[in-house]
Amino acid sequence: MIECSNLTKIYNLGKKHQVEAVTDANVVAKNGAITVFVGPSGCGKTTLMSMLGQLLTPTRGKILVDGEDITAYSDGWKAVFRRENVGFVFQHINLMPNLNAVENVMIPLLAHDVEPADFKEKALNLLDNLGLAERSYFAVEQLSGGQQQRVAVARALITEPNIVVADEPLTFVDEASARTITDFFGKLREQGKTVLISTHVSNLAKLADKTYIMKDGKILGNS
Amino acid sequence: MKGRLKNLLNYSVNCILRYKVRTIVILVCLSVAATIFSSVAFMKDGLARDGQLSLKYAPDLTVQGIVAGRQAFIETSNIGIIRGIGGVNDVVPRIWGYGNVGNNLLVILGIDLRVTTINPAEPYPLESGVFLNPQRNNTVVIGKAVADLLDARVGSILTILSESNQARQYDVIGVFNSESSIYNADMILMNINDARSFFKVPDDKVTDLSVHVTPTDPGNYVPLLDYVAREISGRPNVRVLTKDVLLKAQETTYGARSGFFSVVWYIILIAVALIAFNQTVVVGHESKFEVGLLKALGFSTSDIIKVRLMESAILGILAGSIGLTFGIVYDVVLNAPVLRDFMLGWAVLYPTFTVPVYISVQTVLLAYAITIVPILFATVIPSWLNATVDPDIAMRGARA
Amino acid sequence: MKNMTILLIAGGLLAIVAISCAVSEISWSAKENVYDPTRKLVGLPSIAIGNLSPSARVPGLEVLCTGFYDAPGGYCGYFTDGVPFIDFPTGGNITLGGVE
Repeated sequence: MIECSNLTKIYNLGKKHQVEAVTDANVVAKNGAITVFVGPSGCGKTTLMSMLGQLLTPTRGKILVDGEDITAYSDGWKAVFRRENVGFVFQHINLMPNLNAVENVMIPLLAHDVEPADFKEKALNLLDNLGLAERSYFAVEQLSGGQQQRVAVARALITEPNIVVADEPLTFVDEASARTITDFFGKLREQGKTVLISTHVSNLAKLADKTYIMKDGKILGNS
Repeated sequence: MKGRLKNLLNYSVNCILRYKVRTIVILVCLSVAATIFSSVAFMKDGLARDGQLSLKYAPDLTVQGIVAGRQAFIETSNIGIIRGIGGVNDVVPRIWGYGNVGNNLLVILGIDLRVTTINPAEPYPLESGVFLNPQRNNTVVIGKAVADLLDARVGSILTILSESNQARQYDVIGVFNSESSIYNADMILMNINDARSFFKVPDDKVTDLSVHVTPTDPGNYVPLLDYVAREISGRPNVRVLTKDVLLKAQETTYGARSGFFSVVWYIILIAVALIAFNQTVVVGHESKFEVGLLKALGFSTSDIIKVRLMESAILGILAGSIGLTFGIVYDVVLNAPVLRDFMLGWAVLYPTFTVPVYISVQTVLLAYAITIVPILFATVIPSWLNATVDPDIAMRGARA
Repeated sequence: MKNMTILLIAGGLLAIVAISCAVSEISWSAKENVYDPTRKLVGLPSIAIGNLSPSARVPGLEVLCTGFYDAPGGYCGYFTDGVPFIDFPTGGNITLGGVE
């Protein structure tokens, strides 16, 4: 379970263009549940997702994962936490250029003490489940936006993380891919994973066990 | 190799292959720099080592005459006096000078075979023929380059025009081999009396004296040398050259010439560094994004640094090895065309000269330092700076 | 496979350099152990048999010296003497006397 209290992020703290992107966010996300964050563009969803995924250091506040305060972690321990526990799906997809689909899926394995070749079949299965069986060896540049995001979803899951964070995963995605990804996230709940999604797509928001509404960096309420 | 480190190594090599243009540019630039550096350094080291080798057997002291601050003939009356100095084993007079064949400068050297401790049975470095005989006059042993220039061989008759406009004929009885060319390629070696006649040197003078000393105790060599040198220096119109002085002169000469190439090489290295840095900046945004993404996917800061370190090391070692290999091929296989002529002198004759080349460990390590260090700075430091920020900020910054 | 190729090429070239180093060292050591009686007579390589003058072999300086023929006021007296190049002391015993 993920709990965060008074989570705040201020960019350019103390400088001329200081921006308070997230203010005093309090969130509880249970295991085996999908928690969705909705709100207009610029309301702080991505900043909040990044903080929850340990990609961004909060200015204030705490994040507890199963009771343990991970905001106090050093840079090295944060890397370990990300490696062992988090799978992130980015709004901008962020695949590695000049690599093909299956190579991109297997990148997270390089940080582990494993033989990546042993996981190739699993990577191909993931791509197959996401409807990309025939495009597993296509270069990233040869895939559509939706296909690329599906590869990114597979990448986030190759290491079987407990926490999956998806920041606006359907922004650059076609309808067919959006449906596939939405269905896939639904299955993650059944696997007992903690899923955090920020979105403004209603079909994805409908998956939520809990929804937080955000505006101007603040959480207005939840349902 | 441990799994994780092996994975990081694979990723590093993958990066090298992915950024093809950057890799090729860096490899080419650094290889060129390493080639130029190593080809000059190997030759300079070879000449230096050969110089030291020569000095091993060279006279301990060379005594020259000096008049009005310039070298002049030395009086033979000095021979007996110097022989009387304690510790002096042998004093060998020499008459030598320069002669021309067309525009080619030759060294004509006459040695006194009656007084030198030379054993005819010793292994003289001859390609053909025999060494000089004190009983035979008007005979010469010539260097390989002289033989090639004049198309002379054992049995040929050499006619040389002296400064006094007299033509003299000499029988070629021997030709030095290629291996010894470094010190005798352009030489015509003859009996001292023949040289005296050729150069019209007065009977009571010679060009210089080779002095050999023999210490009773090897530890006393330097003090003995100092003592003998001081004793001789006290004589009027003489100057004494020790082995150190001669070696220093040689090193100064070759150092000055290789120094010319060093200037050229520094310019190239600066250009290389600029190009490499430029390439790194060009891929800088991609690199920044990549670092941010890798951290987001679970790589730690030390993983990122290891990746970049291995990438730099592989590129640097590859570039250094390519450059060194080309340098070795240029010097050893091709005999350093152009560079050889510059280092050894253009206006003298060295047509088929095997340049002494010494591939020293120090030069090799220095070449690798040249290729690895700039790349390390250009890649590891920026990566480390990117790796110490939050992954989200690194990726956003790169996307901006 | 491609990764391995790069590493093999780097390793192979490194080996060539290392072997060349070793061979060079061995051959020079062997050369140093071979006695050449003529070196004893002749001394240093040809250049230093001369008058210590780098000008005898240096391109550029050679042209200069040939041009001036070591004449008074010419540059060649400086170079052909060779003294400044090797810090050899000459005329060191000058004392100044006269009015106190």
